[in-house]
Amino acid sequence: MIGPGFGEILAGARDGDEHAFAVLWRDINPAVLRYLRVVAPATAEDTAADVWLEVCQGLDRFRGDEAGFRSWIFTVARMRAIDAARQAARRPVRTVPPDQLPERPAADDPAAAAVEAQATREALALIAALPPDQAEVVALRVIAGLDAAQVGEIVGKRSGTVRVLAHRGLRRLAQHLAERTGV
Amino acid sequence: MRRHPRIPVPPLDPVMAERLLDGTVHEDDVPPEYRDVLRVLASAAASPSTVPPDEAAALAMFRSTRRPVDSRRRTSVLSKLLGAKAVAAIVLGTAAVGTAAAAATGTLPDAAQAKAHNIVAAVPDVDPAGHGAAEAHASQAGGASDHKTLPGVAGLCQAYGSGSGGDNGKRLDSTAFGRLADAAGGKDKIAAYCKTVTASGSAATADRNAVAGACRSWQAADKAARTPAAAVLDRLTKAAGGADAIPSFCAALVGERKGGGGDAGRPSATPSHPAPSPRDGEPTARPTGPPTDDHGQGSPSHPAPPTPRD
Repeated sequence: MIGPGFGEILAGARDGDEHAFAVLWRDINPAVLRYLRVVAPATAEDTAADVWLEVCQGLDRFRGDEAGFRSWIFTVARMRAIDAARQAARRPVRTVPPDQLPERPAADDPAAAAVEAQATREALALIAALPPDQAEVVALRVIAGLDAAQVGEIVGKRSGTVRVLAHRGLRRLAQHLAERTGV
Repeated sequence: MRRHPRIPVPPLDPVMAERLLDGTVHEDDVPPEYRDVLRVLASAAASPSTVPPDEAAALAMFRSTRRPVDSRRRTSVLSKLLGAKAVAAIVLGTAAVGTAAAAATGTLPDAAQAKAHNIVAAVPDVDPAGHGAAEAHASQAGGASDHKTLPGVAGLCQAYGSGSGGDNGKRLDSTAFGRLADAAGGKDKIAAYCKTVTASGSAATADRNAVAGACRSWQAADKAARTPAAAVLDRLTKAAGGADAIPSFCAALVGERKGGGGDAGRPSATPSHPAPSPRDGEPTARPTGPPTDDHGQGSPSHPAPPTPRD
């Protein structure tokens, strides 16, 4: 989250200030990418580029605060992911194995970065393996950092339904992890 | 994932579930069956420690969707990005004046002068291939400039300001005064320049960067003859000490904006990209008003045009 300076940064980006846009992009893109790796893993990178193109084009017409901005971006991300999934369904190339999901290593500490990347890949793959409606709300709650009401608006469900789906998702995750370690 | 897990896991108390999802719970408070879940969620939520390599592509795309802006913006994307240019400009300016002060007035001790030189040497190279590292250095240099180089210039500014009324600068000899005027970009700009120097000395680097960002917004709006955002105006009026002082304040802090725009057609550092074709999709901000043209949940839309990547 950017915090109190958000309004100025958004205004700067609208005015064409690349520095301001870069602040927004750095802040939100990692979450966008991870969300997409859960809901549309095969096309996450391309879809993220589509999302930002749409966001840039709509920047001037956006009105709202930082929470609203994030909600908007993830609304766009969800629509583009649905488009991508439709296209993928026409040419069935399904799930990418977790260890093939790209996650870039850090330049300064390759070993730590490798561990970080591995943990992230596994975490995203575990969430992606949940039933799709559960995976989506867990990803939006945890990765996008949105609350149940915001997620409800994005996915077109009541916030109570979002909570139930997310809680079921957590329990399922716990069961899966217990089986994995308990064998 | 199996449909009928053999190891039963107790359901989660809804409050605890929400805290897990919010990431606001300590491991010790989580039921043992859910501690691995906490770790998975933390790994999924953690921000990557690296600057993504496709940032340049994202910026190129951003440019392609904006109207042309002045050449400073387009030619030094990365330095803008890192704030290194602003830092370097201030550091170089202050160091030069500091050195001038030492030479002209003998007010700077050798140690301070040596520090000023060190800091000039420490200004990071802006290296597109390693901007993560450059960024770290830039922030260090920013911090250093706040605490180490400012005394020299702050002293000059103080000397300049200590003359009352029309006596400004009386206590500086002509050489030092001239160098201060050079650094400020003109005698009439010294007051504004000194304001930015002392402001950047007292404020945190982040705050100065925010002010610099506000200046850029203001300059862009001014150039386009638009009214800048209220928040921008507010901040700058305060920082500059009055709305009238904003132009010279910003010019001193982030540089003079290009007049005339004679090089508006010059290609930018990255290959130019065709403007994207119009999309059917208006921005969809259901929760936030316009962008309002909702796609509907799951309504079809056309595939995106190719996105510039380089």
